[in-house]
Amino acid sequence: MLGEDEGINKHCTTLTKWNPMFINDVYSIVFNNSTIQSIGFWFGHPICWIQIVGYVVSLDVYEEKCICIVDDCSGQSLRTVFSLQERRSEAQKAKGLYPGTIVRIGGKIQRSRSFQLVAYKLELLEDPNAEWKEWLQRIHYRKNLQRTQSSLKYVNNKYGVPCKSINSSKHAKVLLSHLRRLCKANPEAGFTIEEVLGFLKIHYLELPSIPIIDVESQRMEMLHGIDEEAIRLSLLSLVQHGRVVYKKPHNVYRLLYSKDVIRFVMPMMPSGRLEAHRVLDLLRQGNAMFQTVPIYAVAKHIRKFLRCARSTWDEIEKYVWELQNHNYVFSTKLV
Amino acid sequence: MDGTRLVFLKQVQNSPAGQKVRFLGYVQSYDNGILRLQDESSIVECDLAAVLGNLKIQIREWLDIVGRKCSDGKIDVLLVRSVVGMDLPKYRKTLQWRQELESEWNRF
Repeated sequence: MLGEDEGINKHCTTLTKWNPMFINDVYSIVFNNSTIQSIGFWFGHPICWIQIVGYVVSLDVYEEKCICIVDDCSGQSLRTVFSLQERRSEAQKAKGLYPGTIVRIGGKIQRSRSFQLVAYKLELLEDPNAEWKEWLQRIHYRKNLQRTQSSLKYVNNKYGVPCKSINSSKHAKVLLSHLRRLCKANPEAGFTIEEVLGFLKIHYLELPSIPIIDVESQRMEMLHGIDEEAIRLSLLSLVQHGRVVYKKPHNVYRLLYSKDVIRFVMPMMPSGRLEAHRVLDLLRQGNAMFQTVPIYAVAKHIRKFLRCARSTWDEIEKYVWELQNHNYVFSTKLV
Repeated sequence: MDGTRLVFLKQVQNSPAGQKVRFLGYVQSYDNGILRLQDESSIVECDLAAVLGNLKIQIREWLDIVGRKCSDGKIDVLLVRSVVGMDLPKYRKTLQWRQELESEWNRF
């Protein structure tokens, strides 16, 4: 197991832990056919160990193994294999399963003729509340990984599949605070990568290195933080998250400011209803450079603005706010 | 192997015939092998003929059903288990969230 490499363990928690997943997401894991070990990429994060929860559809017992089909109602079911030779106690436990049992199974994906899970751990979930709690956990985990999505790099790769996973989230966070300093004097001017590098050097500012997991060599490489490639990767991530926009295609960047969004919010407020999608449409129609801004970035600015507003706005559904009537409390004190 | 769709009981009627569905409902009645399950104001008839063993069905008990939708709207039950003790409001909220996100995720 890759646990011997401490660098990978420190920077890449998804590689050494059980990743709780829905079965349809298991099928979306991207693999590099050149590697022997079963390491794949999910939202750019390298993963090896996965954990599913579902009901037993069927169980077949053979001399050397038990095969259990599990369905978690995500659209697909998964064949899980318990080896009597290699993991006897789990396989013996599996023999006692019957259709309808709710199970949690942890293991590694094996891609031979078919896609299957080689089971390492089996638990029966008897508490009726256990299963929906596992769904919640999977939803949160997926959202979290999607939000901190790593970039995949296809480098000198004849197979055309990713072999490197780059996690620039820490680098991007620190870079963002430096960019705010850089742009303080002239927010509208924007900046190039060269200007950013110059600013960092003049002010002796630091950036953390970016860990790159190379699945082929199974090693960790570190990209120096003050490197053009590192800055470019983080800027790409910041653009994807709506913190930065391209002022001119791929050359000059600009920070997205709250005022860029709120100027479209204020005229809507007298109507008593705010919709982030409408604000986003107006933002994009106003200037093509805002095309890359995602809806959740707009919603974040709106929420922050409304928290400071004098009137009370409730988010009645996702990305929609309505003005609430104030309840006036009259003083009973005699004047 | 076809996957199961996890639904609320009220959504069973909109599921296509032949679809494998999974849902919760409480026992309204059980006569001659036909189970009537209810959730809020929706009712579904379930045929327990395919389920083996001596099932003890109690009126008003909440059950978790996996079955296949027939062309006549009934459910051919494949699996049934009691979910007595389940926190139903939290289950409903989680299922609703799961369904909302699935339509968002599967778009890509």
